[in-house]
Amino acid sequence: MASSESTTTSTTTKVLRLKSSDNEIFGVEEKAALQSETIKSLAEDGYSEDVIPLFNVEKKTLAKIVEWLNKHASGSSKEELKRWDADFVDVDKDVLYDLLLASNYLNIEVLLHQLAQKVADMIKGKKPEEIRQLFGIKNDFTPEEEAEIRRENAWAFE
Amino acid sequence: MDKDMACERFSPPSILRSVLGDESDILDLLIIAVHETFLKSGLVGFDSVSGTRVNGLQFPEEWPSSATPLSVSYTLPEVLDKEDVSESIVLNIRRVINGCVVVSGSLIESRSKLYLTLDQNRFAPVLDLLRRNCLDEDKMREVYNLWKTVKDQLVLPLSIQLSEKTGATLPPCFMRLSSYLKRKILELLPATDVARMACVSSEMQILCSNGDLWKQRYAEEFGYASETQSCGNWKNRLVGIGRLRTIIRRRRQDQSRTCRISSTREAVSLANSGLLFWH
Repeated sequence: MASSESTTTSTTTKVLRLKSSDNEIFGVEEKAALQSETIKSLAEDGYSEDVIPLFNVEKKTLAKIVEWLNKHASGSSKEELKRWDADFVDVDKDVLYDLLLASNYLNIEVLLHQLAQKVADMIKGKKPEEIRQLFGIKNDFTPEEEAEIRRENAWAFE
Repeated sequence: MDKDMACERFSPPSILRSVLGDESDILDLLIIAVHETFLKSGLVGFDSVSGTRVNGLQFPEEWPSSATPLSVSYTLPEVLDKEDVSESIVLNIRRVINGCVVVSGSLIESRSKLYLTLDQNRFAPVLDLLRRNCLDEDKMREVYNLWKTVKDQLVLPLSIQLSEKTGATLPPCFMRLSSYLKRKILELLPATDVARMACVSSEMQILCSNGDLWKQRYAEEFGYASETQSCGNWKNRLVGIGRLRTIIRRRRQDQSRTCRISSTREAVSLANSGLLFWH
C-alpha cells in the first residue's frame, strides 16, 4: 500500500531538479519542466532522479525560463497567458538574447517562437541604419557594395 | 518557493534596492542606478589615469553647473587583464536645468557619442521609494523601464563597440545568435523588411539571400509556390509582382492626369519577362 501511494505522489507532483551552468539548483514540477524537449530527453535518459545538468544556461537566465515553464503549466486562461507572455518578453535586449539562446538549447518551441517574434517586431519598419544601431551591427560593406545592394533592394525603400 | 525567490534576486528592483544607500542624496539615486546597471552588465569601473579597476562612484562635492559633468569610465574585465589597458567606455553625466540628467557615452577618444536623457523628477522619487521598500507594485514598472532604457540605449551598444575594438567576447547580442536563430527571426519578417535586413551587413546579406526564405514569402503572398513554375528566383518574382502592382496603382492614380507611358511599357516588359505569375 505504501508503495502504491508513493507512485501516485510521484506521478502528480514529481519535482525535477535542474542545475544551471553556475551550479544553482532549481526545483521544477515535472509537468512544467517537460515542456522542454531537452529536459525531457535527459529525464528519459535516467537523469530524472538526480540533478539534471544544463551546461549552457546561467542561473539568471534559468530563473526566467523556470518562471515561464511554471506559468505555462499553471492552467492559466489563454488571454491571461497572452498578457503575461507580452510582459515576459518585454526585457532588455541582452536578456532577450540570453533567453533566445537558452530556449533554443532547451528546445522549448513555443517560447523560442515568442522570443523570435519579439526580435522580428523590433526590426519591422526600420531602415538598415536604424537596424544597425538597434543591434550594434557593424556596416562592413564598401561604399560600392552598399550602393549595389541598395540598388538591388531599392523596391523595399519605395 | 525557492524558484520564485531565485528569479526575484536577479530582478532590477532587488539589484538596485541593494545599492541605493540610505544616506545618499535623493538627487544622486538616478546616477547610482545608471552606474549599477553598467556594473551588473559585466563591465567594471575603471580609472583611465592609473589604468586600474575602481569600485564605487565619486560624487563631486557640488554640481556647480551643467558645464561640469561627472565622468565615469568602464571597461571589460577581459581588457583589464591585458597589460596595456587603454580602451574604455567614458560616460559623462550632466544635470541640466529642467531637472533632467543627460548621460553621454562613447569609447575613449571616439567622437561618436550616444546620448540618453533621463527625467530626474520621474525616476528619483521612484528610486527613493524603492530603497525604503515602499514602492507599489504598479510603480515597480518604472524601475524596469529605467533599467531597460539604460541597458538598451547605452550599455549594450557601448559594450559591443568596446568588444569589437578590443577583440573581447561580444556581449549577448544579435550578432552572437546562431545562423539558425537569425534565420528563424528573418522567417517572421515581411518581404520588405527582409530586403532591408539584407542591406545591413554582409552576413545579413548572405542570410537574406536564401532561396527558401523567398519561396516562403512568395507562398504566403500567393497561396502556394509550386516547384513546377520553373526554377526562377523567388525573390525576383515577388519583387516583380510588387513593382507591377505599384505601377498599376500609380497608373490608376495618374489616369485622370497624364498617362505614364513609360510605366506602362515597363509593366508590359515585366509581364513578358516570364518573372510574373498571376493566380
